[in-house]
Amino acid sequence: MSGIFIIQFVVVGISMGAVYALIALGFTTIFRASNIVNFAQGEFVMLGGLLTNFFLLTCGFAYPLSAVLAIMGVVLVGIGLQVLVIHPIRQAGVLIMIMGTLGASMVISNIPVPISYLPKLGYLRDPFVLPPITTAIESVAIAGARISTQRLWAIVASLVILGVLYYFSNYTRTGKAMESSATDPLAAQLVGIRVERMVQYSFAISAAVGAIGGILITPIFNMAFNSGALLGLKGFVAAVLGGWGKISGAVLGGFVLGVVESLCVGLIPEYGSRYQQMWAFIILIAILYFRPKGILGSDAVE
Amino acid sequence: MKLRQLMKIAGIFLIALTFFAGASSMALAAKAPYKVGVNLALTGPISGLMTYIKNGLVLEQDRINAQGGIDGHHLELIFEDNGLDITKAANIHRKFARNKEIKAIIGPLFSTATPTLTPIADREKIPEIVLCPSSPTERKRKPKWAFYIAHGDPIVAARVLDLAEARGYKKIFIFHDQDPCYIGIANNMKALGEKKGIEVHISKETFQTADTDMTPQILKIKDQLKDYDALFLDTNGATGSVVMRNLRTQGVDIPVLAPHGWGFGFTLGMGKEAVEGVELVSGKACVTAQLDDTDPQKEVIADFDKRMKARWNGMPAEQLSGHSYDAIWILHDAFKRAGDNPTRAQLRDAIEKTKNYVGVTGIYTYTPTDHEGLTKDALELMVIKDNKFKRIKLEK
Repeated sequence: MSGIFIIQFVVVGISMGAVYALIALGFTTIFRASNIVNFAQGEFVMLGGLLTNFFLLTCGFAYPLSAVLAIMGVVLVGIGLQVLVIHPIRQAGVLIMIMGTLGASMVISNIPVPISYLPKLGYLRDPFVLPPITTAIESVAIAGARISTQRLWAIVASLVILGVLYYFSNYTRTGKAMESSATDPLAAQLVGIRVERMVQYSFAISAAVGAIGGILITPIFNMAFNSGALLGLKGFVAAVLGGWGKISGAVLGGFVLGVVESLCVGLIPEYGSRYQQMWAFIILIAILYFRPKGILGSDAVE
Repeated sequence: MKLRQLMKIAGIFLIALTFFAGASSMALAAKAPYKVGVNLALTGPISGLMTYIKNGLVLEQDRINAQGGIDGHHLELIFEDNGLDITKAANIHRKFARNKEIKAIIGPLFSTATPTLTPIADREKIPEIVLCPSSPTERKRKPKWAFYIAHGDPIVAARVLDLAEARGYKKIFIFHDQDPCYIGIANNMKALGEKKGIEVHISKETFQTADTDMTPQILKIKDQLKDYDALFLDTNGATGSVVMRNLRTQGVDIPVLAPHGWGFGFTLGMGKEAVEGVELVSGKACVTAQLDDTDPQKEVIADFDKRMKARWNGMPAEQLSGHSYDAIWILHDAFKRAGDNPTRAQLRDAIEKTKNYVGVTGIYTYTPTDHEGLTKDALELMVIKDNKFKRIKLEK
């Protein structure tokens, strides 16, 4: 296997990794504010694509407007999740709240099919794509492999969102308040931080990040009402891999996961491609066994 | 006090009894309905596709009953949801089989479960109309009670090779997913190709139906493809559109052939420019208006299409709802020939004697040795042009 092949696999892997990074960022944001693992994160991604498709097809809006409305819609869903599911059971402990998010993810992914029975909404039950953001240049050649411009946008977006979240979390009052809500809720409340509000913000931000990810991802792959589960799991693996609870860890983990997955498929003959989805979970098990703190280390894991 | 309460309860009981007696006597007056169990994945990953199947079944059931049923017996479909879980599906099969009133099962669209489910039908001796295609392992077992509606892999392979021959392709490269149906097609193509002098190579690199990116595999096979005349993308339309997008991005422009799993509207919706130019074999429902007027299936499909659109908000007839139509009407046809209130065995024999039944999926003739009933002419040749299916007519 020539060296040029390996470089190509790495390049393709980085472009896949941007996708995982965007999803991982959603997990990390909510965790940093509340210690909750939001297993409905994948559904936020799916809804970003689905709602954009809805505004495009049924409402006839332009693409940018549909995207913005979709993001707002998913933010509402995220806040709704916190208010209707998390908040009522907050006394039961973090584990129960996590199970609540799992239940919510099942509910959300099962809503599109019944709704699709309404007139003219039949497309909601079928897999779909969205148009790419820019159509001027189709793809760019890097090391002999062609990467579509949409994937480059995903890479750019993941880095930009990383920068924004990092700045927000470490240099703004609200961001720091959100983090302290999870570290020590009692102390935070004593200092005048409204913990409940901080958790809501985190859900809203995660929903927005997830939705943006969904809108960027859907033109690359197909999205369907049930895509959320697998995407969420991959994002979760990425977040753990990079360093659970660290924003930079989420992005690094995403890229590493993408590259390792691509290398496994590319370098392992026959079985590499047959079990493409499996490598992510083998990596998860390996990480949890050998270095649960992840690549960049984690304050949350002993 | 106690006696009074007892009297009250007895009184209510007696009144209720008269109501039930009245109701049941009304039921006895009409002829007993023919009950058919339907085992589908109504929830879960393919619930979207199941809607097409369920709508087709309900539409035709209501139509039959509106016409007075089968010789006065209403057709009653009993739907059960297996959630795409093999254990649940098997339990539903057994439940249907143990219910003596159920005459037949319309089986699942669940190719990994049929090896478990069709033996249950054989053991419990209940006729089963299976909606998904058979596989080589199934055929080896020679099922007695299961009948298949969908196009089986030998027919698909034969028809694709017809197309390849007409185009003059001598070397074909097959890139397939891990679904047993498509693996079956690949193996059949290799064997049949040898007889026709077409070299068929099955790639060692494969992918799964649910995979989202095949670029690594494509980078590996890109150079190999230069030696071949055509690529057979052996998967369903949704996954296929992802592969086509990956292929086109990498600048691979070899001619592409595809199986009937591509014959759905959403393939066009998802693939857009990427699937332009792909030639495929598929059920005739994709190109109803373009069929020859002399084709006996055209009227059947066009009529079904009109009724589907009227009842289900514009949902057209396509391959899956076509399977539903055929399942119900083959049962209807068999019930009529089997005599009044047939036993399961009589119904099974009647189904096996189905001859030249003109359906949406094809024209069915079952025999004791052939429970699939179709020939390769049930598949039409078409190309994706301007994001629509255009029929290909080969000059003989």
